[in-house]
Amino acid sequence: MTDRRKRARGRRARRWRGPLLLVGLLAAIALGAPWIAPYSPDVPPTYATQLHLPPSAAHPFGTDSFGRDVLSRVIHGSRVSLSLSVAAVSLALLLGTAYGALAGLIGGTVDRLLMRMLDVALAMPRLLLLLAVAAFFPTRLPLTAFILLLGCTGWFEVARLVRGEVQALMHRDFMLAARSLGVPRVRQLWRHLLPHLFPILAVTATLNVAGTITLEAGLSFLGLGVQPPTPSWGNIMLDGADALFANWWLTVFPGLAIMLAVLTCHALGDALRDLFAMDQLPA
Amino acid sequence: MIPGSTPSPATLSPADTPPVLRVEQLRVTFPTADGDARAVDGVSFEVYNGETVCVVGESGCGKSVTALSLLHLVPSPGVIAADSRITIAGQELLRLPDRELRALRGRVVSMIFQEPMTALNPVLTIGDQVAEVVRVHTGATKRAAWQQAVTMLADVGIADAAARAQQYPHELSGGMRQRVMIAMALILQPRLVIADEPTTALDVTIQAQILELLRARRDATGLALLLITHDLGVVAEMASRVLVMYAGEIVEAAPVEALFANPSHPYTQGLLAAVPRLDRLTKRLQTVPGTVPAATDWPTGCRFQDRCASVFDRCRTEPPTLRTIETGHAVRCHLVDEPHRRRNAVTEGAA
Repeated sequence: MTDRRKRARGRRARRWRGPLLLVGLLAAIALGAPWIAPYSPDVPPTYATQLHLPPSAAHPFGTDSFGRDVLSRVIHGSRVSLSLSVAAVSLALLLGTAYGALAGLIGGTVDRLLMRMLDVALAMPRLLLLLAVAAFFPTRLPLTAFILLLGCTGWFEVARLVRGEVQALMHRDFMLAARSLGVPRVRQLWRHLLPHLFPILAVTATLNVAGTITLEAGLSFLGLGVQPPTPSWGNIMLDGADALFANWWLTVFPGLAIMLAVLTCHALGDALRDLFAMDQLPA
Repeated sequence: MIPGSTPSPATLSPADTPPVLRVEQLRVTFPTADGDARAVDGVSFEVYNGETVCVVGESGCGKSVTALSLLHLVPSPGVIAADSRITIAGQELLRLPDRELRALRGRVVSMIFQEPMTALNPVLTIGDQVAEVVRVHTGATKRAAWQQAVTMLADVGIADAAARAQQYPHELSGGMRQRVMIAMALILQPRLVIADEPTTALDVTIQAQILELLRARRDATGLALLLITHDLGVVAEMASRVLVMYAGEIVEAAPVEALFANPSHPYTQGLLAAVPRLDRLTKRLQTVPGTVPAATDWPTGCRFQDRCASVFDRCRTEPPTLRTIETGHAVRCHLVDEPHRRRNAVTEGAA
């Protein structure tokens, strides 16, 4: 390996360290919530009279109107908010990739039809769509339904991206070569095309997770997303919404958590983008 | 020039063995905003076992589209005319259902591309890519296919093939990559191999090695080679017969010796004169003046008329047909009938 490439790899590793460390930290907090959180997120401590306590050594993020420890709720909320976003984005990637790859592979009239349908879907504001569907639910929205809803409304952009990429790839020489050697279509897709979609999907995934975290928070804040008592960063903020200045800790701390998570995702997305762009440089 | 001045070499296979490839009236059109571009317009030829047929002509003359037609892989929106017929090893290519077409590609007929860097998939190891051809066409297990791929890679001159097979295309040199392409194209011993400018992207020394490899494999397996090139040096070295294409048509077809000894179409003469030579000192390289007309708008009459030194009134109105002037040597030019009209065929670039 030449020195130039060694140095490039070193730079790349350094660009990675920060975002990866943060992702690891968030994941560890979410996974280890029951062990990390000092109190239960749902049940107030036995000295139940201590409502609306400002941050202190015993309760670093204060307590809420039920006397529950806000730090514990934010920690448990990370579980819900993060896993929900990751699940919804995974679903969106799956749907979008399938739709986009289909359109790109088949081409012609089918492609045009599928793309016009996509344009219609993209023309609808996602937030309004979500609000409308959520409002339709007679009872409160179950968590799985919420995830499905976010996933099923989040794949349009992915589909458009994948379709463009697939179309470009179909014109590459190695796809023509694969066809000239009699490689069947399904195999062309799995073995020859899909690996090339990985960079664009990875970057899209990180950015979409960030978007979904804020979307979830927004919907939960409006009372239409994750339903209490299950804590999510959005509905913890909702708890503090009626006394924003008096009980500032109820909104500030989950808000900071959202910011941290979103920034982490973006940093990771940027690092990924750099990584893939660098790999495309001639060796 | 008097036809029949050189005896026809016995490179043509006897008529009683059927050709590996028979192309009849191949016509490929690309619909464009300016009308249909007739990229290939009524091309017919045959290729026999064990012979090398070279297709020469400048960019845009239709040679690559012809090559892709032979695999039924004309890029959209190109369309092959309904009355065109391509017969490969007895099978009518253009009438085959998808499944049988796929079985034919890579096994009976295969293609070597010009630029191995882009024709190999950068995310798969070369061993995987060679083995894939085996796995797709035969029931071989993953292991057996890999073993076969390694053997083939060694056969095409890749040293330490077992280790190299694990590498990715970007880890190989250009010549190595082209050897891998050749391994992929030849591993199932196809009857016909189409090579579209296989050495154009390579260094001169590597070019010679690759041509030598192709020649060795041809002689070892008796495959028929259709070599697309614009390099007359390659033609002289490899070809048994030559097809000269111009503006979507074959303008001259001849055994290689006859073509070099007695080039009869003004375009062929121009091409030969344009080859720089050490034993002929000229101030400037000779060229064929002008460029190929647009495929949407071929002129009436001969398509070469605007670039031809010997053009006369008949060329402007009546399209010439392909006429046999000696055994195996055919020319599409009115000068065959009226040889006295031939003028100094090539103008010097410096004039």
